[in-house]
Amino acid sequence: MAATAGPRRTWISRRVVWGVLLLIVVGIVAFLPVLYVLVSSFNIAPPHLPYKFSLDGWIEVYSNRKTWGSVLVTVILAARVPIAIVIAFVLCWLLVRVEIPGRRFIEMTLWFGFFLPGIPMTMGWILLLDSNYGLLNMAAKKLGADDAIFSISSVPGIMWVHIALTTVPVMVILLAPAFRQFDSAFEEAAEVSGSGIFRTMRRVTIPLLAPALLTAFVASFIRSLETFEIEQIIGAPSGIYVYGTRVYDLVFSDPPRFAQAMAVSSLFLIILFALAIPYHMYLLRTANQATIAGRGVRLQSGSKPKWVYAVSALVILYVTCTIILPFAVLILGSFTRLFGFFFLENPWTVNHWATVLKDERFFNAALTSVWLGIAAGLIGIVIFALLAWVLVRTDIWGRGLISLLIWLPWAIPGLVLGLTLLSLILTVPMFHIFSGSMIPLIFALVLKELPVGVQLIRASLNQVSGQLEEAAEVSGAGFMRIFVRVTLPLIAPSLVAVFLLTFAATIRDISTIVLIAAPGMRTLSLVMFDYAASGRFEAGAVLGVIVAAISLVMTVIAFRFGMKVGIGR
Amino acid sequence: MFISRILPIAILGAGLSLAFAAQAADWQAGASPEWKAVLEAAKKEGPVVLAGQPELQDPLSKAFERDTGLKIDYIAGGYNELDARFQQGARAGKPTIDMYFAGGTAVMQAKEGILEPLDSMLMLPGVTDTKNWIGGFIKYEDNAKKHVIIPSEYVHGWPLFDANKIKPGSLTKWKDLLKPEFKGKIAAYDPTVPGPGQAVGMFLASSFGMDFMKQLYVGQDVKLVRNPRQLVEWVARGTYPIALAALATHIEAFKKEGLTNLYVPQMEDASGILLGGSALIEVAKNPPHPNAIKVFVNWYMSQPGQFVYSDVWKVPSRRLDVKVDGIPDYVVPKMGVKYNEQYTEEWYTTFRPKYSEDLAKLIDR
Repeated sequence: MAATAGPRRTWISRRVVWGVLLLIVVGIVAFLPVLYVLVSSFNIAPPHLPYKFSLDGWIEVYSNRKTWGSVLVTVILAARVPIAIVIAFVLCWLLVRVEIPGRRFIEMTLWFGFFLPGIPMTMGWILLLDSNYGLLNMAAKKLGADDAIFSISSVPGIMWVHIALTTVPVMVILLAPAFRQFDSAFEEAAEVSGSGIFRTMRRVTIPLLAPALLTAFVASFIRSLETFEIEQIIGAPSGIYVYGTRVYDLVFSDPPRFAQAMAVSSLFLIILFALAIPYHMYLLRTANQATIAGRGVRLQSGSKPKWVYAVSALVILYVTCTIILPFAVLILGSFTRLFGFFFLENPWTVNHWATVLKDERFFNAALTSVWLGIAAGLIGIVIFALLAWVLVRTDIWGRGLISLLIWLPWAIPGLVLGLTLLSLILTVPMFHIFSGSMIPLIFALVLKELPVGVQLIRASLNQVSGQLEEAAEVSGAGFMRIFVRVTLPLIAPSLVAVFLLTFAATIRDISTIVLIAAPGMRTLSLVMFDYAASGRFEAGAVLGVIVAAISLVMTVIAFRFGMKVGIGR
Repeated sequence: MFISRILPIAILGAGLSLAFAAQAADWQAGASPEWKAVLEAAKKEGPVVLAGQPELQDPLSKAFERDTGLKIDYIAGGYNELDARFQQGARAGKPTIDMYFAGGTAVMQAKEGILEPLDSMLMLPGVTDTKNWIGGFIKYEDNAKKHVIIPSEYVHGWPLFDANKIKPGSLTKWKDLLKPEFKGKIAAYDPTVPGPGQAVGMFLASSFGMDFMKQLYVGQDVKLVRNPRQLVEWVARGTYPIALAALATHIEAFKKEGLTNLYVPQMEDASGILLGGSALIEVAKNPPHPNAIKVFVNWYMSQPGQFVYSDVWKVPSRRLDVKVDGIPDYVVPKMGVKYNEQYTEEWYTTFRPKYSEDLAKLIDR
């Protein structure tokens, strides 16, 4: 609508006022934690002493080869993102365009995979791929292999676990709505003109989906730089350290080296802007590339060639190997007396299930997780959708700056964000009233999902032509009516995806909330973290299975709802 | 039939209830009217907020409620996260956690002035009577003997061997670990982060010097982990035949499930470390529940509180009336043996910072 006269008449007189107001709000919310990190990176005083400015933290940390080593490994591991985007693109094309048999099962499994908790699933992978006792390696040795075939404690091992557990599933989640909002008439026109599948894909599909592909790529790339839980479990014993583990080491070293940790975190800010600025410029250039116009979306459907069945079998094999197999191992592990010790005389027990289900924390944590997930998800989509709408449909002053500020929450690793919020709550009087409530948790979780939420909805809105909203406006509908009755339904697949992403983040998150969860307010992931930290892997596996079951229920509900708006169709 | 089966169970149940009731009553024996007022005030304050390792949560909460009628809000978690969280709140003067089950670093918070004195909180005769404690005294970590009590002590720092690969009695000196055949065969808890690995690293550094440490940790290519369970699991599976800084709770849990190859030797050239584990209690200045925390501190320092701690961690209490089954012999301090004592103010202010820095340089994290 930015290019049309109607909305401009409404906004032009107020564009500066609204722009400044929004800039202030987004600036405070997104920039304050970053500012805290920057200021803290120059403070070399111990935590209980007054601020002492110095460049020592920066000099020390950046003159240490470990820092650069960890950055290098992080960048190498981030190579999984282009690999995953190719896999995810092909998967989405097969699911949405070709409509391969079993597509609902495949897509649900990928959603389910994304929900699965990281730590127990990593334990499942270790049990399968450890070079000494991994079940697959042991099977290979029995079949005649001289040595272990797989080694999980390696850079390829870590990359594989990421690709299987998170990177590909999340990319499918991000890309599938864009595919669904894409009128197949564009591709059909190319095909009628004699273009083959690959040429159509190269000349039509990929260019039209470029904003969504770029959003998925940038979002996944940035997130890949800050992961540390999987690396901590698999990589640290083999001396593989990444940016996230480096920050963790500095925060929890003895004595804590906060200045150095904050200085390392600041590097992230530079990387973030190096990616966000070109991304933003590209989006502005392609803002009018709508794939849904006034005449709506038409999805192709028809008889299928025989090869799709073979492809479907391959894809089902892929999701079975990457998601169902480690999950099955996790279930088995939850019934072992000692996690993964299948060779004991009597290895099976239900005691760990009894322990967890009798644990008073369990039901509270389950309820807290579900409520927190729903609250963060709902609040999140309202805020993200409004911000995305403002960025796409209005020409308020400072849009470019707001668009960049929205990326800022990803400039800080989750653990540092948690530490920062804890400090702000404790030291700034106006924030102290939130202490002990659920608000800091919801705030942190929504803030953490702000970049991907806004960008995904923004990409989705860019695909929807403003003609539809203009038609409603011409018919006399007001802003709220147009927003709720026209805009939101048109981007419903993306909204459902964003809700589920935020819900999943709540279910899975540990690092952001571990320091700010109020007494008596533990989520399942935190209880699971407690178990893992104290070495009770069996109980951790039980909770992992329970979280997976909750996730499965959420996935089914989402799909039932999604059927109405386009997901899983 | 009914009488022959049910009656004995009923009698046993009644007997146990009476025993618990008697125990619950005993720990408050001789309490002053002031104690009763504190107890009443505590009931109006709501749950006392504690933070500590997850293992303690259930048994501690149940026993405390059984004996006092008061509830606990327990924040379980890893040492690093809890430490950061407790200190941030206490330092800002707005604690949300009343008490934290701390390690030896508690003495530094005491010096910083963010902790409540504990000596004045001890009210019950059964707690303050020094005849109930080993050596006839309540042990403090801080020199002022006010802020940080050490109610439990155990021996740490022995290695763990895989008996299938290292025959018991064949390796009895720490310096033998430097033999070429053990290169790449040793795993250890990371000595650069606070915790059991650091305690062992510093113990070895203080016993044999940094040159030995370099030869051991760097020269022998020691594999470092930060999960104590993984350390024991590796030895149990035979992945690594030697582990440094394993925890007794994990060793005993594996042994209980039938892993018979786990073996803890006595080393001749250094006896081990005397530690208080996470038994130390840090009470934040101006705690949110000032009366409830007083009740908890007194209960925890009495027989039932110490029994729970000792039973969960399988470590001995310094209280003489706490007898727990299943405590492995290798963690019980022996009379007349000189241990490396790390839970002291001198250790934390003088020796530890130096060793910490040296170890960080050595491991280069």
